[in-house]
Amino acid sequence: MSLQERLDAHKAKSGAGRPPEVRAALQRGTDELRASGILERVLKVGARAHEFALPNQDGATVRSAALLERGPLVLTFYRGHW
Amino acid sequence: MAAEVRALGASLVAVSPQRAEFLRQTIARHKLSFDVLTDSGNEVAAGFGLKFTVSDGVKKVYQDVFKLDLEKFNADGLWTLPMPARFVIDRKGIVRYAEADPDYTRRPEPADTVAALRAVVR
Repeated sequence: MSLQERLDAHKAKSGAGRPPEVRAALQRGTDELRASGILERVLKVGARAHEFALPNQDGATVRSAALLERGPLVLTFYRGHW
Repeated sequence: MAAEVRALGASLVAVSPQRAEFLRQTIARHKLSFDVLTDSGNEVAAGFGLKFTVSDGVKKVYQDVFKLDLEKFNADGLWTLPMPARFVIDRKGIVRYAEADPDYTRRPEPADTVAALRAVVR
């Protein structure tokens, strides 16, 4: 089963227990975000990524420049543990 | 995906606006083998074009229905988030793959990201 198939199954299962107005409100949020045009502003292939230095889970600073010296970087942004 | 990324000589890093204690929860829950970073206020995410402010409608659902209080979880205590996204950046700092979706229930197959990385490493 692909990741998306598993996500869709999870969404159907957890959504089934929720009132329709909750599902509608969340869907509206997604639709508004899409309608805001945010996708057009996402950094595109060919663009230069800004360097960054951020603290990790142990408080140590991780610098993108240091990582890139060793090889390419796969960078994933997520909203939270929830 | 982490093992394949490493085998190709690349790094994998996840970024979220959360305080360190919640990053540690994420790592423990999913048994992650890579670093997770705090992007306070989503400023780095903003540089990638991902930052947005949670709308009042969604904020109400998060608080009332899910008891989800971003003020407690986010390092800056504010209601901004990054649109979930993945990038592959080459050693010159150039973006070679970019994927983002306003619908957080949709995710790319990890194999797609690995394939994009293979093309960079080749």
